[in-house]
Amino acid sequence: MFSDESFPPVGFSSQASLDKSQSTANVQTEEIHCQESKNQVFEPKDVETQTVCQDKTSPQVDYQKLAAFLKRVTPSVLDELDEIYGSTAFDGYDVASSGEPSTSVKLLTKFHTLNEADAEAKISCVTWSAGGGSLALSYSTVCHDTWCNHTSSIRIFNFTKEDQFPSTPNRSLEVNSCVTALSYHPVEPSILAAGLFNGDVLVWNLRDDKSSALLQLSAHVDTLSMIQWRPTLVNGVFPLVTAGRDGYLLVHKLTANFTNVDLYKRFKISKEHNPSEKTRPRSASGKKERAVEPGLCITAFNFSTIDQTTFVLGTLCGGLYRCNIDQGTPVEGIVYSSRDTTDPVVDEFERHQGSITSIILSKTCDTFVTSGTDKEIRIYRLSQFNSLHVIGVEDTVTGLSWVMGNWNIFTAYGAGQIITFYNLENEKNLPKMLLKTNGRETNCLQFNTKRELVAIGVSDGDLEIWKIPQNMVY
Amino acid sequence: MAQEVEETMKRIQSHKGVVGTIVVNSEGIPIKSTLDNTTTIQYAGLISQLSDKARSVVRDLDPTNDLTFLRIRSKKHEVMVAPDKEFILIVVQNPVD
Repeated sequence: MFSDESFPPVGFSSQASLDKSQSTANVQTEEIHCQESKNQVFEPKDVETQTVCQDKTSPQVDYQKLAAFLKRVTPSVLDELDEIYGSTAFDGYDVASSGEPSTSVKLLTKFHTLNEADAEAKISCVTWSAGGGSLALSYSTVCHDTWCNHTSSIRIFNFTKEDQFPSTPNRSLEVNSCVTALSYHPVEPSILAAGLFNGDVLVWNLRDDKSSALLQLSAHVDTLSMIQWRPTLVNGVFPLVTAGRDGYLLVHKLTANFTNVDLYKRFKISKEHNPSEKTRPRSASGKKERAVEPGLCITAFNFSTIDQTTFVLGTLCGGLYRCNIDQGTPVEGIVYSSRDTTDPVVDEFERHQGSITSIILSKTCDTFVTSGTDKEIRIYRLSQFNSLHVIGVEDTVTGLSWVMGNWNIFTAYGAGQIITFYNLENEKNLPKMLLKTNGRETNCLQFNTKRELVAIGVSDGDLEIWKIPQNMVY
Repeated sequence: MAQEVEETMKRIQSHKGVVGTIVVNSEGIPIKSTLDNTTTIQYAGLISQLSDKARSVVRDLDPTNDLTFLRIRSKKHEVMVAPDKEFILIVVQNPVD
């Protein structure tokens, strides 16, 4: 089955080529730049130091001289310390925010000041004392149908520090009629004057413990409408000016530590100044003015601080008059306490359509602002008959007041809970500044001259104390 | 005498609202102090410079006049300086405690 067999060899020629392919290519290297610079390492040097332990020498003191020096200066230093300690200059000074103008007013406190028995009363006036530490409130019945037989009171609250307000009065003064005007003396912090509905004027010295008044004058025969301490001295005293609805404006001089009163000037606004009265037939005697008749009902007046003899007076029938304390025409037939009665009117301004409720005179220029029951605020110049500007308001304005620290800004308040701020320069209200009280209406308002506070008497006998920063952005 | 000085210092220090009392010599170096070291050195150096400046202002305005007292009212404190030829008394007060 198996056998040997041989085959002839078979040869194959190689197919691989022995030729080598060649190609040439050029390569160029980039040029290498070399630069040489010399440098030298710093040579370190060691220096040894040794601190010297030296006793601290206390300065040489001549104790005799020092004792003499301290003996000499200590009394005056202690006096200064005493004086500064009671200072309220820093009250309300917020260290964190001072320097930065503020835009916010803040309600500090609100409290009810009436007893249940006086439910029908309202806060009629507020006044801050000269030092700014005491606030007096007076009350009157909201509406008088007949003659006032109410007994009323004046309540005094003492504020020691800005954030501490007592809610109960420190003192209460009883009066036999509603209070319609109230004013602290501009310099003497303890002297308080009040005008009553029955025409009486009372002056208290609060330093006395007695609750009875130092003085009681039956000055007017009708309701007192305004009472004001004149800001300038006459023979060393600040005269007390009172105006009533009987048409008389009286200037009293209080001497002998406010215990003696002397009638200094007596003014009457003749009915001649009212167009409707003027058309009435003359009296039988033929005199122009009916001597025994009362004058035009005075509702507001204010003195100029620039020309100290000038004052502006407003009446119930809307008349506005420029008056002068040293000029005017004598009114015949009325002699009272040996003082002749004078009609102080020297000029007239454009009339309001309603009663004048408030007049404020600028402390820096001859402009003044008035408000009336015709829902208008008007800006006048003393030298010009027509008003410069008339601002119509939504609610009747019953009072105007300059904002403390900025004599171009004034506030208007009255019926309505919003107290508006106006700029005298551009006669526009300041929308950023708005003070909204919690009462239905604002009866009275007064700025504190020493602190950044404003006291506001609102409806229902509530008192609100607001903080208005002096560096306020208006 | 040293005791008398101490007593006077105590008397001032115990006054209403006083935060610190320092006596400085004419070179501005504090001699007596009720405040801590750093504050004392700061007050002594700065107030004595200010007091010198204030004195020279008063004298420049009127050569016959002299500074007797310096009161610095700041937001936080009231600093009272009673300068003299050889000493300056500095009292720091917090007006409302």
